[in-house]
Amino acid sequence: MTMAENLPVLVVGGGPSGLKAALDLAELDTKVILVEKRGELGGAPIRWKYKLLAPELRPSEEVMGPLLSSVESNPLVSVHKDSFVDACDGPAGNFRVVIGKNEGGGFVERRVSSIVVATGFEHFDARVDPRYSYGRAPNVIGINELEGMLKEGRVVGHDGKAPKRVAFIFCVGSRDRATNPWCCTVCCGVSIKQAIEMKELIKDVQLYMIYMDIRTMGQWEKLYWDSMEKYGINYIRGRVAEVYWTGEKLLVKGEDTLVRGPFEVLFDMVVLAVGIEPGPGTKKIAGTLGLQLNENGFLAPRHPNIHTESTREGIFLAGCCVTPMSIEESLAEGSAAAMAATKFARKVAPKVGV
Amino acid sequence: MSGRWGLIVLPRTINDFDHSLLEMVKAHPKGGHVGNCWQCGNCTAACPVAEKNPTFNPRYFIYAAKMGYEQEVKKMKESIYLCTSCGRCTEVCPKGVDPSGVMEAIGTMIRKARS
Ligand SMILES: Cc1cc2nc3c(=O)[nH]c(=O)nc-3n(C[C@H](O)[C@H](O)[C@H](O)COP(=O)(O)OP(=O)(O)OC[C@H]3O[C@@H](n4cnc5c(N)ncnc54)[C@H](O)[C@@H]3O)c2cc1C
Ligand code: SF4
Ligand code: SF4
Ligand code: SF4
Repeated sequence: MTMAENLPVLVVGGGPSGLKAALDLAELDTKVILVEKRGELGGAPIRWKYKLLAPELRPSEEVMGPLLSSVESNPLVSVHKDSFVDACDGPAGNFRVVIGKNEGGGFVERRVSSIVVATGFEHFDARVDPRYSYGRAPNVIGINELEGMLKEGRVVGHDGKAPKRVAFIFCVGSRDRATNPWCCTVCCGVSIKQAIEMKELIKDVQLYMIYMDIRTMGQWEKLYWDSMEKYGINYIRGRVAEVYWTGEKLLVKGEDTLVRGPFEVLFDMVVLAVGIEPGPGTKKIAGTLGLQLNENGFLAPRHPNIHTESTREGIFLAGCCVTPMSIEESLAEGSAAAMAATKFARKVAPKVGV
Repeated sequence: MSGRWGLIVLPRTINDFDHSLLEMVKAHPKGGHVGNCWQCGNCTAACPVAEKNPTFNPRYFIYAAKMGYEQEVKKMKESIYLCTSCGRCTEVCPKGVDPSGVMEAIGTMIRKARS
C-alpha cells in the first residue's frame, strides 16, 4: 500500500448513507474522518426515533444498531460530532480540509484523498403552507413526529386520549408548485406503514388516507395491499383544501374525486406526510466544497443518472442529499460512494513518500 | 361526472363516513373481499350492463357502499339489480374483489335494510 492510499477519506454527514460509506471504507483499510453537524450519529432514523422500517416492518435497530456500533468502535474511523467542514482547498487526491467544532470549539486541519458528501434531507416545514393548520391547531402532527409516538407506544391527542378517527394527508409540501414540485418517493410507504402500526396499537381507530396517487414503489406495494386487505384502512382520493380546528375536533375539507363530492369531515387527529427537502446543511456544504445544486436545491451529480459523481473531481455523493430515497437505497449509495472513493485514491492520489 | 358515465352529478357535501353497510357486505358470503377494492374501474370497463346503462357502475357502487355515502346508496337501490351476474367484472378485477358477488351482496343488504 502506498502512502497516498493512507490518506483518509472525509465523509460529511452521519446518516445511513454516510455511516455506510465510512464503514465500507474502514473495512477496506482506509482511514475515515466522519464529520456530523449534530451531537449524535444516525441521521433521520435516530433523530426522529424510527421504530419499524418500511417495507417489511423490521425494527430499525436491526439496520441502524450494527451500523452505528461498527462505526463508533472502528479504530480507522475518527468521528467528529457537533462539527462542520469550514474550508477545503488543494487538489483532488490531496485536499486540505478545515474542520470546525460548533459553538467556537476550535478548528483542526487535515489532508484527505477524497470526500463523500452525505448530508441527507430535512422535512418540509408544514407551517409554510397554512392550509394544514400545522403549528396552530392541536393534534395536527407530521409523520416525523408520529414515528417517535409509535416508538413510545403511545399515540394520543393533546387531551391524552387515543384518537378514534385519524386522517393522513399525503403530499404535504410535495408535488405542489407553491412549495416543492418533486415527489418524496417514500412518504406514501412510510405513512401507510405508520397507519398499520397505529391500527395495531389502537384497535378501534378508523384511518383515512387522503391521497392524489399512491406511490409505493417496487415491493413496497405490499404495504398498500396489506393496509386495505388486512387492516381495513380507507383511501380517499383528493387533495385537502383546509384543516380547521372547531374547538373540539379537526374539520378536514377536500374533494372526494371518486364521487366528485366535496367532503367536510371531523377528525380527532391529522397526520401530515411532510415531504423530503434539501436542508441548510446541504446548501452549506455545496458552498464550502464548490458543488453545484440543481433547481430544487439537491446536490447535482455530474450526470443525472450517475449519483455518485459530483460536479467536482474527487468529491462523491450519496443518499438523500442527491434526491429523496429510502434507507435501503441510501445504504447502497453509501457503499457505491465508498467504492468510488477507493478507486479514486488508487488512481489519482499523489504517491507521497514512495 | 366521475361516478356515472354521461351523467352530471349535482354537488353535495359529504359530512361523514359510515361503514355499517360495508360491514354487512363483508359478512355476506360473496362480499368478503370488498375491502380489497382500489377503485381502478376495470370491473366497470368490462361490464356489459354499464356499457348500455350509465346509471350502473359497479366500481362506483362498491365505493359508495364502502364509505356509506347515503345519497349515493339511495340512488343505487334502483339500479344495482340490473346486474346479470355474468361475471366479466370478476374475471378482470386485479384485486380479487369478486365485484359480481359484491353486487349480489350489496343488493341483498339493501333489500334487508329496507324490510
Ligand atoms: C418520517 C420518515 C420515515 C421514514 N421511514 C423509512 C422507512 O421506514 N424505511 C426506509 O427505507 N426509509 C425511510 N425513510 C427514509 C430515510 O429516512 C432516508 O432514506 C435516510 O434517512 C437517508 O439517509 P441519509 O444518510 O442520506 O440522510 P439523513 O438521514 O438525513 O442523514 C444526513 C446526516 O447528515 C448530517 N448533516 C447534514 N448537513 C451536514 C453538514 N453540512 N455537515 C455535517 N453533517 C451534516 C445530518 O445532521 C444527518 O445526520 C423515512 C423518511 C421519513 C421522512
Ligand atoms: S411519496 Fe406519496 S405522499 Fe410522498 S410526495 Fe410522493 S405521492 Fe406524495
Ligand atoms: S356480473 Fe354484473 S357487474 Fe359484473 S360485469 Fe356482469 S353485469 Fe356487470
Ligand atoms: S376491478 Fe376490482 S379493484 Fe378495480 S374497481 Fe372493480 S372491484 Fe375494485
